[in-house]
Amino acid sequence: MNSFDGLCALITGSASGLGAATAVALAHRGARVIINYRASAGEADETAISAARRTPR
Amino acid sequence: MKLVQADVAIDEDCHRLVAAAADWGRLDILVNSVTPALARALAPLIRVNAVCPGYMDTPWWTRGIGQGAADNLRELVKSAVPLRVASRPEDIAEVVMFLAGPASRHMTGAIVPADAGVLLLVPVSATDAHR
Repeated sequence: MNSFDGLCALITGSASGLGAATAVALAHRGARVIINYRASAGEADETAISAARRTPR
Repeated sequence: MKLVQADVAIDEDCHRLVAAAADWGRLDILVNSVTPALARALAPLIRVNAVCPGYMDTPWWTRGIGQGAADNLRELVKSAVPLRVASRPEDIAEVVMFLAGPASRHMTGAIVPADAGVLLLVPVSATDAHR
């Protein structure tokens, strides 16, 4: 189910929690995702890795 | 041209609303005011909807109150909320996927509780502020 193919999403506060889950879910549905964070660079990297992983669901 | 005028109005309204919500420590006021204000101003180009989660099972609690207290809180929530679950971010992201996607193309200005029913525990007069 790639209903977000070709779309771009900016998710504020997406290093962890709800933001991270939203970013990963959108990425897995075909969106290009911009991950935004204030201080949690390491967690933001983890979100990016999860988002890039091809796990169709 | 019309869109530019709308932008200015939104900006001024939001400044006032953010200031008011910050003063009163009432984030629900912000959600309940900004969601319809933006939805009106940006229709039909952009849909604006809001999700209102309840308890979130994340490490944020463990960091704040410690492992034991966080575990206790999770069990307390599970025993108290109508759906008897401790919502995790992935559960709420499903609702966001619906509101952001084409399946909700006829929705704008909606404020959607995704809280395992916790608002149902609040007296009706208190939830008036939420809808």
